[in-house]
Amino acid sequence: MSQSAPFLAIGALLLCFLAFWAWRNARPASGRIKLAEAQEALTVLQLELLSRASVGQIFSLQDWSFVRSQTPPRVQQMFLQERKTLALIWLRRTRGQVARLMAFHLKAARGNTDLSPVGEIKLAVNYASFLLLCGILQSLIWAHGPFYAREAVDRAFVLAEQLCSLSRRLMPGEDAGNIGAVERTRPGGQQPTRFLL
Amino acid sequence: MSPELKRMDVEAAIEDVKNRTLAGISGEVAQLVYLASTRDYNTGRYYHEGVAFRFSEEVAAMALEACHQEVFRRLVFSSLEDVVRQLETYVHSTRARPLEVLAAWRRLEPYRVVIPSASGQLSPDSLPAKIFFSNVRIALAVLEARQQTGPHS
Repeated sequence: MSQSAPFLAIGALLLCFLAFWAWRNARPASGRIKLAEAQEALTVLQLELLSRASVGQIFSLQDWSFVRSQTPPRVQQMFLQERKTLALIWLRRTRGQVARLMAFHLKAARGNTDLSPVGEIKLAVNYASFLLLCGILQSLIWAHGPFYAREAVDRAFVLAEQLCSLSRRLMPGEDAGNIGAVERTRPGGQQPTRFLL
Repeated sequence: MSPELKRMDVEAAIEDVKNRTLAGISGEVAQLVYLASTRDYNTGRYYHEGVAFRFSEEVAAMALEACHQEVFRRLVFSSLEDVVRQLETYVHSTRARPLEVLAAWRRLEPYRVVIPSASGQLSPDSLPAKIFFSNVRIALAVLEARQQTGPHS
């Protein structure tokens, strides 16, 4: 009996894990991301967080140059603190909305038989790179301020745009006309991809 | 009224607001404050007697809201140097003592109620609104510093 106890314990643990897994998958959709939430995340990203005008404003070197040359150190400190706060808000919100999109994508992908493995791998790699970059960016902004990490901001912006574009293909109702309309309303929507450097 | 006619009316009303009203107000901060003042605090609805008389109350409200959004967007995406200049023009236009106006703006934060309607996509918690509030706070600090040490020192 004592020899079989570890096996029984492992078996019981496996059963518990399976029961938890089954319960988690059987839960109603309220606990997980819905289409409307994913569409909302996409809209917020496209209209607000991935607006080149907004991001260009937060990380504007022109503003920093003005403040550095025209104001006393006290105001310069205030400016850096304000822009640091804005940069961290932008980063946190962008990461949060992209995570919502990815959660929806994961859910939608389970029931989709037409998935392209290459596309999914690309999406997964992009998302992992995006998360890693967000972590690095957050540390850089905390430690050195918003103007130290402009190249990384540029890269995170482009990755987030790519993730939006890849994930919206799985979103019903996001036809080309609809997306075009959203893009036309974006400030600076026709500008080239690189905006900070 | 058909949607097309209504759209043309709103466009004409927007031009009317720009040419007759906003043209007489110097500076975008002053225009923003003015346009916010045409909005009812309780209902959020815009009203302007002259524009409503020439068009209709509904068309006037839509035109004022569109102008408000446009002036706000221009200010949000202006350089900080421009925001400081616009705010300076506004402070001098009030004819009160500049330091007094700046202190009141810093303390009471009236700029929080001059952003366009929250019924649209813009809320006080949105990123453009946060950028605007932040820029105004910095501009106030720049102008206060200038007042205390002399201009552009």
